[in-house]
Amino acid sequence: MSTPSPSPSSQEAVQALLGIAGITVHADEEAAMVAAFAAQRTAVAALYAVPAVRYELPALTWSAIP
Amino acid sequence: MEGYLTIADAAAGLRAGDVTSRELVDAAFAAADQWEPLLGVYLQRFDVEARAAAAVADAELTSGIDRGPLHGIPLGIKDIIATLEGPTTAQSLVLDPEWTGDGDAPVVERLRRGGAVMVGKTTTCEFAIGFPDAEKPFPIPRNPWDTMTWPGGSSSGTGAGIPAGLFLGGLGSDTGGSIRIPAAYCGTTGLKATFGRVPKAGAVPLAYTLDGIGPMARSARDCALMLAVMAGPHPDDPTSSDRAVDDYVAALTGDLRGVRIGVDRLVRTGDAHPDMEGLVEDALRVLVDAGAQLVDVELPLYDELTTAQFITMTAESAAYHMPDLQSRWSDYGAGARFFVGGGALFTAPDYVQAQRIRRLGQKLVRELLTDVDFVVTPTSTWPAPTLASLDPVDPMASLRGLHTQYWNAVGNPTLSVPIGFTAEGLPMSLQISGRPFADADVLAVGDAFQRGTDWHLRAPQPALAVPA
Repeated sequence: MSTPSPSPSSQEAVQALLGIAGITVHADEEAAMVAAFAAQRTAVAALYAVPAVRYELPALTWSAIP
Repeated sequence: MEGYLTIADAAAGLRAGDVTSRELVDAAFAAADQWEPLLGVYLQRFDVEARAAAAVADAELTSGIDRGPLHGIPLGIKDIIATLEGPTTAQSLVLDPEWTGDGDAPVVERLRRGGAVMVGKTTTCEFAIGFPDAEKPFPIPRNPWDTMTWPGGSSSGTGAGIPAGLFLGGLGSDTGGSIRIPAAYCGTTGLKATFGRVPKAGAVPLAYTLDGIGPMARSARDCALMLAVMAGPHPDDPTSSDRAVDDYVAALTGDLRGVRIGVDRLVRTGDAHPDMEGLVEDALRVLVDAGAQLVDVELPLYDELTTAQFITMTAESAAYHMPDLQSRWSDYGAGARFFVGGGALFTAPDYVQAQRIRRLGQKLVRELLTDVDFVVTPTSTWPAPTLASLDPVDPMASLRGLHTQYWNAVGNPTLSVPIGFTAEGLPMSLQISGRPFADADVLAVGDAFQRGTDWHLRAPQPALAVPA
């Protein structure tokens, strides 16, 4: 049984996500993103915690005809 | 503007022979000569083209050709929306100069066919997001009520230019509040129409599922006059709705008897300017005097829908901009790139979950709007911030008290109307929201309110010096 990896720090997460996107930001911008990241993830987590959304469909439209 | 503050009054003056379109346009440019570059309203003026169009408008009226209430009326166009007179820059060094060389956006073409005179392209936040950036070669828009403050964004120039008399109305776009914020900060009226009510083809996109073009003017009546020309489907915008376009002007009865208005003061969401509570209560009394019944309500999923809007806006804009974000990061202004690049910090499941929250939110708001006909909230609980306080890497601190994003997340029509001034002389505002495609009803509430107030007609006197 593998041991779950520890959660990355906000800095590691921000650097990884920006790296995946191929975006290079300035140092002060990265610092601001890192500082805001934990609160941002908390707000995102709250979206998954809404019970009534459990079986909701997304507000997306899709058609076989472009 | 030579005594004409509203489109409705100017239209009447044109038909009575009291004024010509050429005189209206000359007055608009005279005001621009007086206040620019102090206010930073224009990216490009169309002096020659506008005067020629005004001459045609006058000749047509003289010969009995009347294109409707916008005939001969000078309008400013936010510079993310294409016009045939000149290029669209989105106030950015990044936008491809070849973008949309096809002439007018459909909404501009409709205004032009309605006889409106386009006097120029107005300042915006870069790509309709972020803050002004002094390091980039574009004007810094200033608020005519206090030129040390920001007029709001992203439809900054249109918002600032109306109360200063540079045009009688104009176009903005609203993805998270970009019509209602400058309307609120500048003491004008602005409508975020129902999503899909106005075609957005020919506008530089910010977020595909949130963007909307809408009217900005002194009054709700003027917004109704503009929307009547702008609304309706267009084949170039698959999200534009083919629902029938209502008679927005006929709906303006001034009578709110039998109307139930839900009130959410949103005090739970944070602090407010000390004058806000009194201004809101005074405004609510005006609605009661017009016949409305007020009911306290609480907007469902307020925080979640605000988060969903933010995820959607930044993720969709990041997708649009990604190649340029990767290769031209520093060519973007600091405010725009921080917002847009921040979209990379959300995951694909986050984006989809945001769309599930939006669908649930739509249903809950629909349920709320079966009990009440409208909901009013503060547009912002704080007035315009100083330009010096805008921090591109801490944008939400600069924008505290804004309550506009919620309605973009669900798509309902929302009108911002001025409700008075703080002790410091800065405008404050309420927003009126209604059921999807009930834009006429929302405008009717705004019009009824403005029949009992004159905040929307006040004129600022900007100092004739560019602050250091």
